[in-house]
Amino acid sequence: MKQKVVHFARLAAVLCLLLGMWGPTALAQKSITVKGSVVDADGLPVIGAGVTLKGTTTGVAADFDGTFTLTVPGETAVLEVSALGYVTQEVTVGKQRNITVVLRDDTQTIEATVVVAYGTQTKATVTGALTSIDNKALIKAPVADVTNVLAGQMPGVSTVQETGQPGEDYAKIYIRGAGSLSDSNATPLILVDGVERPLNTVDPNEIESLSILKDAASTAVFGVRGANGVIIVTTKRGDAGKPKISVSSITGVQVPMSYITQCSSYDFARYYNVYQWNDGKTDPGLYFTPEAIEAYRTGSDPIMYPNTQWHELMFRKAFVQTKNNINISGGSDKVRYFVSMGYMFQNGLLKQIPDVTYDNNYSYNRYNYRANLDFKLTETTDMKFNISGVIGNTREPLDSDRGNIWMLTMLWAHPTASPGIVNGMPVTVVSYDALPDGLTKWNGWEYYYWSGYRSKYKTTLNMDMTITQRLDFITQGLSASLKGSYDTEMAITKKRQGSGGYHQTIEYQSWVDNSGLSMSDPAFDRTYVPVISGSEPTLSYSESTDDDKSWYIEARIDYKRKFARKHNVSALLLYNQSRDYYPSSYGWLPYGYVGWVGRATYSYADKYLVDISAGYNGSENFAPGKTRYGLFPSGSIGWVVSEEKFMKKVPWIDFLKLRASVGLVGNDQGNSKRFMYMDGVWNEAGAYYFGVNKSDGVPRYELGTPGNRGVTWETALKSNVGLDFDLFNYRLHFSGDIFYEHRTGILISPKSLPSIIATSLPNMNLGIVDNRGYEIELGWKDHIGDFTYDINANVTFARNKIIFEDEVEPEYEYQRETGGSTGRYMLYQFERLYQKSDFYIDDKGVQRLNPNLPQPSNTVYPGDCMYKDLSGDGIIDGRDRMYDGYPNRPEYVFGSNWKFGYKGFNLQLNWIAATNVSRVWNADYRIPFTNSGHRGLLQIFADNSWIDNDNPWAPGREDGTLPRFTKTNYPWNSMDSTLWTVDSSYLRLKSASFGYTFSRNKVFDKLGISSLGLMFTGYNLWTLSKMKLQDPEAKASSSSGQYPLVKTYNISLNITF
Amino acid sequence: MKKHLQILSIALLGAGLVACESLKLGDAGLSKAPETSGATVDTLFATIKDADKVLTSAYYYLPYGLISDFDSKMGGDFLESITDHFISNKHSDSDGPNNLYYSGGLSANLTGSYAGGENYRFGSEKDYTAIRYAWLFLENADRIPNVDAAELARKKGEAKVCMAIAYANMLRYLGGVPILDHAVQADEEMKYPRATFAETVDFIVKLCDEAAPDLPWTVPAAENGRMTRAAALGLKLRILCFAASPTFNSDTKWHPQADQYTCYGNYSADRWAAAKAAADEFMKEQLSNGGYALEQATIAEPLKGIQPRDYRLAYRKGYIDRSSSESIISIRKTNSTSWYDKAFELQQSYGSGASLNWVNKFPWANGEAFPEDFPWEDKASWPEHPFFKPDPNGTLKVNNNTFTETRDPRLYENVCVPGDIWRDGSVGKGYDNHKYHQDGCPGFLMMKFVMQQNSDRSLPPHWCMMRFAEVLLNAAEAYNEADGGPSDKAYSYVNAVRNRVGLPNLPEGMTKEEFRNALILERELEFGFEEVRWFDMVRWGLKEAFTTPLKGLTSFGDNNNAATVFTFKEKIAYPSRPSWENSFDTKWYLAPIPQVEIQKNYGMTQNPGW
Repeated sequence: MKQKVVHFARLAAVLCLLLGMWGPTALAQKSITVKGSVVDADGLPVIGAGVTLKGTTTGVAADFDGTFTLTVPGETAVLEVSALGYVTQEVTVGKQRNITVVLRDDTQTIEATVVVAYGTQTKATVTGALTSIDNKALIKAPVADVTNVLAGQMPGVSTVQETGQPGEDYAKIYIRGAGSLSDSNATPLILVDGVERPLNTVDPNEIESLSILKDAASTAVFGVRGANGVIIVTTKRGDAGKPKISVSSITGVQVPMSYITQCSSYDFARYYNVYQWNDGKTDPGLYFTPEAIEAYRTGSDPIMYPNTQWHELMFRKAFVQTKNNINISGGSDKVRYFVSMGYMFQNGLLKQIPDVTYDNNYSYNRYNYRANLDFKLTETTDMKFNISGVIGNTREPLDSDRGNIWMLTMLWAHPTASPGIVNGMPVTVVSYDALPDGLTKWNGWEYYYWSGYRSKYKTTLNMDMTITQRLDFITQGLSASLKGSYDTEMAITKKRQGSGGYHQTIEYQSWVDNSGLSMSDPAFDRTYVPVISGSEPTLSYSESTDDDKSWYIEARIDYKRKFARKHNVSALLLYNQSRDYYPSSYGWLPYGYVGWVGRATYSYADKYLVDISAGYNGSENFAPGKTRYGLFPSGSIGWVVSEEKFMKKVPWIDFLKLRASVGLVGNDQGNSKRFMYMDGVWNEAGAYYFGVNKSDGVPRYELGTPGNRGVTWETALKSNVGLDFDLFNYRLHFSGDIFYEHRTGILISPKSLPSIIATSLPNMNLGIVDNRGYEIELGWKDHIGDFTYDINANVTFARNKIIFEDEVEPEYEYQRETGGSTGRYMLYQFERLYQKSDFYIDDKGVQRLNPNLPQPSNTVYPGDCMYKDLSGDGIIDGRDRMYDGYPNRPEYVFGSNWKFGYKGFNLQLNWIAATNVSRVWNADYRIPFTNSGHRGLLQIFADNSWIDNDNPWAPGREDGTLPRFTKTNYPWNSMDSTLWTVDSSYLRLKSASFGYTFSRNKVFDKLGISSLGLMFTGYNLWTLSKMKLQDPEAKASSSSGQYPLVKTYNISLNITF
Repeated sequence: MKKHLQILSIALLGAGLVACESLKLGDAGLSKAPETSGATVDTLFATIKDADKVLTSAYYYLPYGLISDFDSKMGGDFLESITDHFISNKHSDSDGPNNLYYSGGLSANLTGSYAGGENYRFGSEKDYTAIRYAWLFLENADRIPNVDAAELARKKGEAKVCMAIAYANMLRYLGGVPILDHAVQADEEMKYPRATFAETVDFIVKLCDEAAPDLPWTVPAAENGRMTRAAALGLKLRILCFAASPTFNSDTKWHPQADQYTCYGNYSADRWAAAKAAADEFMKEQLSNGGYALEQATIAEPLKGIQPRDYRLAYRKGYIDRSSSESIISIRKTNSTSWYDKAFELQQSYGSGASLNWVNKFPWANGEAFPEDFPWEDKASWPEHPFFKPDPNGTLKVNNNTFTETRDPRLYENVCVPGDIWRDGSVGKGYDNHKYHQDGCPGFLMMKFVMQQNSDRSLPPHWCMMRFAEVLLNAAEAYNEADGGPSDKAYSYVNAVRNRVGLPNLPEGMTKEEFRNALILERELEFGFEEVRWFDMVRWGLKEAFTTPLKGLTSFGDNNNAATVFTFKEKIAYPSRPSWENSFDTKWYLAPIPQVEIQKNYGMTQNPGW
């Protein structure tokens, strides 16, 4: 890059000199010698930048380290500083003798090109709503998956990362919230180099740009697939010139964050007794003995009375990851190339269990490769050929039938169940005699010890080729091109299911002897006796394969021409078709799309912009005929106010544009069923078994769901109004959009029909949802001497509203879901916990609730939840639940990026925040000792549960804020209510980096290094949230628990040759 | 030109790359809908053999009482667990008995994980699916060409009995329900008003009456399980007894809000008379055709004569064996014996069990009542060991052949008492110091469907929905109620059931009420886990069965793995049923209708108290 920069910068300097010749000659003044340096926004020197005296041919090129010395005629002299890839800047000398000039990257400016649907445009002429992201941000972030970089970087995008599991840690992306009835039906279309491909197959180092298309003007051309927004990723290509080699390497440690914590053995034992006492159990065998409780407190017998924190025993504190990439680009006039190879490794957080001979940890290995080639076949013919692939290996431990290890370790395991590893062998349980009767002994590795592992190898190979023929010989500006792609994917999953394994139980000698001695008896023999059981462990082997293959073709004619210097015209006509083999339903029938795209743009003097586009395409999901194909038109206009003559007088306004768009887009993925028009038929559904003995039975047939011949796409009417401006010599940047979407014909199965008809009904285009919101991006960048800074902030707000969903008419208005946003919850309103003063004892000695209070359907006791009687009928039951809370995707997302640079040092902070988001804890998290009554106790209950002052086992806490320990009443206390609905708003320092770039020097020159950077990066560094139980982004709805999110600390090295 | 050819060839190469498959452009590029691989109404109703495959779907969706994947009633628990016989200690958030019944949490507005834990969830159970397939069969049966009229009539009769069973199931849980007289099409106007209690009863009776003449009284072994005339008439008798019972057939409403949909609203002796007529009808057929009989004990060891164990096996055959001569209505959704394992898993993992209240009702083997205040802790004062005759050393041998049961043999088949062997020949795990004892187990595990040995579960399973023993007791009840007291015939029916397990006849000269109570007790002993007790509690309004605190028995064995000597102590069972014990409301007799079904406004109404 630097080579080329030097080359062109010099050329630019010469050009400037030539142009300057006809300017006014500087008046004779006392000449001054000015020193200075030219740096970029990161504070790095811009080598070879041209510095000229405005209006003259006098000029120099900046040095290796970006410095220059120039003699100017006087203080009124103006320096013009330019370099390729940067915006030319003018500086008045004034009193300065040492000048720092900061050049802005021209990708940040209005002249930069941005990728739009099926083409590119300059930022200045864009009339739709789209945002693109700087590829530097993608490379710097120490994450495996591109989806995790998007958060906070650009307005209009929200992401939710639910798990940190290696290879599975991608985030869900929503563009402008959710416009349909279900979140799963609101996922955007993702195109990589113009072909639908998953984002996680691309190494961030390969990405040139990433655009998010949001409004109808940008997405209507995608027709039935565009309604949820589109993400377009373009990969890098080579530039003519000497080979340029970039090497980057990031290595770091991952540290899990926000474990769900369990209490100590001492608390577990005491509160277990309170729990038994609360439920009126009288059998002393069901309680921990006072001696046992004391042993837990003092730790006097850590083998029989252990205090095991399972996550400390099983999880590492830190584990490595590394991400490396090398790419080479260059070429000649005829051939250009970009070749990249990447390797990534992420380790998992589990410790190796000593006894287990296979690797029982998670891990992810990924190799990426890509070659993007450009050929100039003839003077008018270009060919692009891309080949890329990913080879990934995801490894994960298996768990036997009972859910997964997260649930066991975080929720189920008891601190009292096992002392961990004794004499190199895991102890599965301490003796049954040491614990209360009937307490199931859960230990963290119960179902994971010798359960085996699964290793998934996945290879993808993607190829695409484009040939473009310029047809200027027919008419100026006309071209035609043909594109094809062929993608394949092959996966092999090897599963080694384990069984067997040795276990030991630790007993006291007297228990083994069945002596019947009481523990307080002096003769009681406390010698530990390990009792080993189990069998030789074995690993079975099985494998399964999964193939996928798809192709895409596209033929297009482009026309682009400028008439009379002011009339810019462009037009596009495109046909495309795709086919995806082995879809999940009707696997033998490939899934196909066909479509036409048309677009025409016109601009007058870069001031008035008009863009009309349309997509016409069909989906096999709909019946042949009029419901299969849809026309999706859109139009947008722009007015670049700053190009008007009257605005030229306002020097501080650099750029000002107003935009508006409206259009239709479709979605055919509702209810994700194929061939929705197909009529149900009778199919065999098993048998019924007459006869006395085992027999084959009589087959039985069932009638399928009837088809709906009229079923068609969902239609989104989208409109958008935007304003962009740059002020104060581009120091201040603003971009804002307001949008409104009205989606109709959302595919749902009718809800309001009697269930007694006992037949399923087809999808119908019934649902209607409105979605509206705004996005604002505001940035300021400047420099103070050599210190450069660039601070920007963005906010996205999106709220949807259900207009129609065939909801059954609710009994009470507050139970109506229609009219509110999707994804909310039906909740009881928690008022407080019942206190003893709410009860009286009746003449039969039964404790009864004060009759003045609303009566719950369940029998309640002090310390249970009191909910509000919304219906006012004096009874608290299911009628008293209301739709409440925010959805579990945030309505507001904020991002802020701070960049500071000083002489090669740079500091970058990326903040992200979200609010108007609710999580309702999974029922497992709401129940002390969980729903079986015999599992772990979360620290939040140990700290906050209501405890009766009269109980004999633990100090009372009648001001507790969480319900009491009870088995009989947990169903009442754990119902979906506002008590368990948590505001999961958060503020997070998503990433921070601090680095230094060594400028070019003699040693580097000898080594051929043009730049070398060293950087420390952290990811997910700091989080502020009211959600204390777990990370605010992690899934609260899963009973099986989740691999925790991780924070990472990294060091990275970037070298360019 | 040469250049252009070059370009063209490259372009073709590119196209070739992506389209190795034949490339079809335009609409032809979209996949065609797959050819339908299934059958149409025309192909299915071409022969009676194929049409039968529609009828089997009606059979398949009939109620099933075993815990299974077919029916998650009670959140995967037995209906018995909301009677005074059994305590569920399952405690997961999908468990019905604890979450909804003992705690009182049931409401018409259940959603999420608690929904489905009810004993009957209107709109979610499969009765209307069975009815739909029965109608699809009936509506299309006449299309079958060249069919034997008698055979066709018989199949139609089977469809009607299936439908009657589905409605009868709903009647017992819900009262009157909408009656569908056709298979609903998606495009019709969806108005289905709720039928009254009387109309629903009449409709069930009508279906049985229509079906009966066309059905055979018994079927050969290969057709075992098909609906018979005995099934139609037995069902009719059961429903008429249910409807004539005092909860529904009374001048006093069973609940202040009880309406025409949930009771008759008055008392009429005719209803018992109708039940008696149905009993007569069944017994007349039985007399002339025979075919049904109680399974009788066979002497295993001739030298010893008949042993308690022989009675036990006869009783077992009655409920477990498809070929049993007692089986009147039998549902068989699977051949896999693993469905029986679910009964075992229920307690293996969760510590549910039978109550001492129920166990105490089983008399001594000689028919004498077992005292409710039995001195469990005072071995010396026992007239006999409460469960087994110990050997001279005082131990109970873990061996079938040396067990000598001291109580009504049916106790042991229903309940695993301390010392009995269970499931795989090992000692039952119900006693308190067994190492797998579960917190909360009342001391008695469930034996029915689990049985003593793995080999006991080798037969293909069925849900015996109605046994001949129930017909006998229903008939005895109808005679007693209609005649104002027990006749000889009524006595003979009950005594047949008692004698089969070696119990003596009931004392003679009982009043109508005494005989009624004896019948209710006999049904408790005979039909454990067979979905009889709950409906008896409901129809007779047995409030004390809801509100009595349940007891268990703490038993300590001499070994924590295979005990043979036990000490006992009575205990309060856990969990208790606070919402019933402290403030019982008769609303519990019928299930709530999910409010959402009422809000759909097609004609369903809410049940009293919900």
